[in-house]
Amino acid sequence: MKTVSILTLKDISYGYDGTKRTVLHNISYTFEKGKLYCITGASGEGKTTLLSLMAGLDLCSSGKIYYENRDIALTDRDEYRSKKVGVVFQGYNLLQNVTAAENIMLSMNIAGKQGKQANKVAYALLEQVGIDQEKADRKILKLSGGEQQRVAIARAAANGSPVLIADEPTGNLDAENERAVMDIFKKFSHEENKCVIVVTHSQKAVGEADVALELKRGELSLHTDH
Amino acid sequence: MYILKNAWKNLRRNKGRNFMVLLIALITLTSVTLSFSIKTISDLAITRYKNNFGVQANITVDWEKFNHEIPPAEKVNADGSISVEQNYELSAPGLADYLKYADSQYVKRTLYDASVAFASDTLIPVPNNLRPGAEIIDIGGMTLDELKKFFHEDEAGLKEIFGSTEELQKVMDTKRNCIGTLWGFTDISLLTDFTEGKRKLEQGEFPAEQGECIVSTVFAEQNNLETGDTISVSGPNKADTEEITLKVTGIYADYFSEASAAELGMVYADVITTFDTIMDSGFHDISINDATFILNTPDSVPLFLKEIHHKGLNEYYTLAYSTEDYESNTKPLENISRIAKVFTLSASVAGAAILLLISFFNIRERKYEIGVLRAMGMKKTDVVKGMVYETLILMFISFTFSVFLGFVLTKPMAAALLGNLNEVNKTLPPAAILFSAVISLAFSVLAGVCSLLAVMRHEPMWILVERN
Ligand SMILES: Nc1ncnc2c1ncn2[C@@H]1O[C@H](COP(=O)(O)OP(=O)(O)O)[C@@H](O)[C@H]1O
Ligand SMILES: [Mg+2]
Repeated sequence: MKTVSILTLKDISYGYDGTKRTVLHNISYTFEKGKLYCITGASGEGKTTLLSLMAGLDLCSSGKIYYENRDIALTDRDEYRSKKVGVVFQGYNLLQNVTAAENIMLSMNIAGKQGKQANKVAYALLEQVGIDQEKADRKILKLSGGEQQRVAIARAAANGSPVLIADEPTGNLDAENERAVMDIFKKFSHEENKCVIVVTHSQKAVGEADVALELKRGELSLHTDH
Repeated sequence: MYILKNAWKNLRRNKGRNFMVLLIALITLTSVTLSFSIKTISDLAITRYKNNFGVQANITVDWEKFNHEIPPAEKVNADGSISVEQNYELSAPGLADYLKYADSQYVKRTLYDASVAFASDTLIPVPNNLRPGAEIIDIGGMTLDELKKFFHEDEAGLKEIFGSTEELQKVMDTKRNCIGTLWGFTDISLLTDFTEGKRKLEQGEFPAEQGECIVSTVFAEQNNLETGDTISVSGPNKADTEEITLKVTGIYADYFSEASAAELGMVYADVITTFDTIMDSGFHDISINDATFILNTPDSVPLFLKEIHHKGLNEYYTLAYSTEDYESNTKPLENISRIAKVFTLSASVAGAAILLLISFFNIRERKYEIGVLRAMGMKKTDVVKGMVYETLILMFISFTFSVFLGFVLTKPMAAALLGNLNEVNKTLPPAAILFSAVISLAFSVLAGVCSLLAVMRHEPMWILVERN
């Protein structure tokens, strides 16, 4: 099968403003479409930081991130976030006082998808991650942590972006649900040809990945055990 | 479109807070609308009073200045007594002067009281025996010889009696058949005999148009006059050959006591008409009895005084004026207007302050929401737009209700505060609605600026990263 690169990290480094320490050191890596990546690493190694940069939430201190050969620092990053990349945040970052379905529809609206069709797609996506109609119409506040996590996954997929990034998306799930979620990610990557990048601590999840990476001392490398 | 829809949904998602904002905005806008209406209504009334009353000013001698600058000379008489004499002739302004002074930007209008003797061959004079206690001796039209004989004086003595050669000449030029006096007023309020009850209109109406007049019951009886009849009179001077025709619109009765009737002498032959009638008659020897200038405002007094001095009024004349009339009417209204203005401003400021505070807390609360929306790729401008829509919707609702309340409450409130003014019957002034609309927009802009600052200042990413 022909491989198509989509997201390329080139010598990226990052340190938080006001701190001397660089969290990420000269990372270079190319992510491809249709593959499921897992990134592991101890707490505080900079996994979330790396995902934030790839998600276009902040710019690298040095180095460049290319999306389809275009430097994302030079593109409209609002547009990039709304259409090119979907993110499942570690803390979900859902709108609390808004229903699950509305959260998803809002994401679609921002990406420019509106109307009745969007409405249908939202419920279908929620159905896919195991949120039924009744729960879909509940406010986020009234859903359990696991349910919120799944809504967050559905929302990340809702804008139809080619890249999907998830920060410890199975952390709050039991084994059965974890399997289900990983199946969804697999489906997104293998059937919908998305590039799916998942940060996880779970060995089982790593086992499902096409490529396993490890972030250690600010450097990204292929997982030795994989 | 989805931004507007989402804004509407957001309002319903946060019912408690938004209801509070709505209520505060409604209270503020209603207060602003009402106080603005009260201010507008009282200002209207003040303007009307100013237009009607103005400041009444009369030309009088400035005795203080006169006595100070021209001290009376003491004169030792032949018998050793001392008398005080003023060796300065004060020349009072005449009709022409008054007309010249009245033509001024400071003068709203002038109240005149003028008179002129009239002559007639056809009208029958009121006989002397109908004038209780009166002893009228008509010296008008006498020749110099007749006058000398009458007064037992030579010509120099006559000049002394009449004051000057001109005055003496005037007496000699007067027609023999002067039978009464024509009185002309600019305003019926000047007819003090009527307001004081010395005279009473028995029939018809006061003269309103040029060429109308009223006559006394005695005069009417003597000449068989009824309302609707006309009389023809000519001027007092031998040179007055033209007659004017006056229409009798009313007949009045005299209630003077005998003594005052005797003093006035020809009281029964007074014909009362309008000032313009006298002015246009072209008669000689019209005298001005009283002229009152109605000046625009109290501030106009010194300016007008300067102007009339410039126009030739003797420096020892000044203006006597009273603002009491004017102020007793406008003072309470001016106070209410001022209070209403202060209230309007403080309500606007207080409302703005409270809404600003709520906005501020709102944004702190919504920092997370802003972050989420921005992380999902929503543009800064769109985030701000959504928040502005929310405010605009709230303000529009508050504004609509405040206008409704304004319509309902303005009248009773104005009536309670201002009493029975004509202006109270007016409903909510459009200016108040406009002002309220401007305030609602100002509130929206304020909230918009708050949102804008919040969205600009908080880079959303770190809100999200920090939470982890
Ligand atoms: N906003 C921040 N400001 C400064 N330092 C931060 C900030 N967020 C994270 N860090 C630091 O950066 C490092 C990497 O954090 P993070 O990317 O969250 O790690 P991980 O997700 O792998 O647990 C940590 O040492 C953390 O303390
Ligand atoms: Mg993390």
